[in-house]
Amino acid sequence: MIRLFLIEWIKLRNYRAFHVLTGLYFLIVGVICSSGALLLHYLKAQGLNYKGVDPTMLPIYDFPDVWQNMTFVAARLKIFLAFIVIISLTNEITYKTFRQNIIDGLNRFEFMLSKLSMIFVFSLVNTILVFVFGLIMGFIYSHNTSIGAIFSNMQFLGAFFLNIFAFLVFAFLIGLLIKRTGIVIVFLGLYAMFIEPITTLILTEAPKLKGNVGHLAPYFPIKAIRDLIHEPFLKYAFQEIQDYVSFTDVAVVMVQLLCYCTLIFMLLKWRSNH
Amino acid sequence: METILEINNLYKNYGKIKAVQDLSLKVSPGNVFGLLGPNGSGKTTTLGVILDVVNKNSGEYKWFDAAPSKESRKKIGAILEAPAFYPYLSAVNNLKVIAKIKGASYNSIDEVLEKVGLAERKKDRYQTYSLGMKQRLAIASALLSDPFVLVLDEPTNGLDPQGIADVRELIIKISSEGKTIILASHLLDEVQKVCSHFAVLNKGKVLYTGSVEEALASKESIEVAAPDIAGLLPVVSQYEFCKEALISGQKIIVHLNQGKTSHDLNSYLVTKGIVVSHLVTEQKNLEEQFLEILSQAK
Repeated sequence: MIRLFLIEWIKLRNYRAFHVLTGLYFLIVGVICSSGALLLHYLKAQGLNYKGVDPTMLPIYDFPDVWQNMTFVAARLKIFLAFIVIISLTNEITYKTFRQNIIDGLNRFEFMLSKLSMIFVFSLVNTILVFVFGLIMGFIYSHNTSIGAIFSNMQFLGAFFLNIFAFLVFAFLIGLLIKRTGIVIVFLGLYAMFIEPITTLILTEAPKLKGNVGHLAPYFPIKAIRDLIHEPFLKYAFQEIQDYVSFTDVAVVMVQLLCYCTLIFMLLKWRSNH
Repeated sequence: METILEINNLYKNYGKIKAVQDLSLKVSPGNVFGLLGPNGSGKTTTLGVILDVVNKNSGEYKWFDAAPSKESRKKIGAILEAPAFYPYLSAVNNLKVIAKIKGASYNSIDEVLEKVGLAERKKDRYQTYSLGMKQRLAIASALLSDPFVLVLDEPTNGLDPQGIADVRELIIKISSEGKTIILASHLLDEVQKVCSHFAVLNKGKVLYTGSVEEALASKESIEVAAPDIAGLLPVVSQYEFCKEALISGQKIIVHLNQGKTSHDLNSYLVTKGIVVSHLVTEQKNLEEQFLEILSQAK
């Protein structure tokens, strides 16, 4: 397994687009995750006030709430990582290096594992990064820094890892299906931001559909992944939120992951001329 | 190891197009085996199947007397069609990827780059290379794991004369080290110059397979002339190893039985008291041979 990851690592390590995209991604995650306090100050300056509570008093970086808040926000940005996965895959097809890897003695399953190992490491590094950001921001702003508070709700980091991993594997599958870098990126963006949200909205809201097929909406790929970490901020407006990771949501994504991997393997196996 | 590669009754269709039909071949250790055929005759498809990147319809093949696997591919150094590398990586990093896949040591990287003459450019990115350098890097990558056999598909395609000469010299050098080479080419004189054995493919079928030497030897003809051409003909015709003798202008073209040479003919003529003024062995080249095989198939 380490050998398979190293193969992928040599391919990426000296690739400028990889440096640019990862650098950009980590920068954006850092900026967005740490700018919550600035945003609240800005809102205060704009005169936002609710019954005497000004926005800066919202405990967004308090342990343990910080974990759900931060993973929820950071998970919005994973499309940058998906670009790296897609480019690294479509390059292999464009430059015929996938075929050369097979000729040189890799089998298709190993090729898949080597890409998956890269996705695994991306997700892991990303999770660690968010954990470190969470710790830093928490120690700066939290009213409660007891060990118990810090380490409760770690489930959201697990969910975050799964969120990123599943999305990147989904991107891998789409990349393999479409094969043209530009089209894959545009399609994935359109699908995640418009096609699927609109479809699920129609399914759940259209009067004739919602009774019949509305219950299918949570099983759509992007929605299933997104539902791992529910929107936390509404609670600051005193609304009911799901402040835990549900087993069902995790199970749905796990099953889908398995399906993606199976499809990826079948595509690699049966399509002979890449 | 008895045989390097054995293919039995291989079939491959692309939809209605029959790319390979009932193809059988055998390559023995130490052969430089040429797969010869016009464009679209099924050479690359055949190589694709035996390298596991094209799915066959039926038939089977064995590498090193065993069923093919990823392990057998690690003992093969192969390039299919154009060289395929990561353009944004240097030669060294490209070879590192391959070394990791094949389980070869990084130590051999410098050695193979030296061998193909790319040592000085090894840190430059692949996309800055000329076509000849790309082709040489491909050969270096094929040599990386010290394989039993090299599979080269049109290795001189698109190269300038110097590049062609370099690559051919390299192939001859490698084969002299005892490696088996399978070489697909549509260039007849390339096969003639570097190969020991060859197969002729057309429309996915094997039309001929055998050693280059035999194919050429059986088609040797001798031109002979003497001042008295009319008197020479009956004498030559009576020679017991003469298959055929024809007058062509001021010369007689003689075909002898297998194994007999111009020397034998000359000795015979001397015993008959004839001294020739012209004696040349014309080796029919593979090109004529090849065209003949193709025309017979029609």
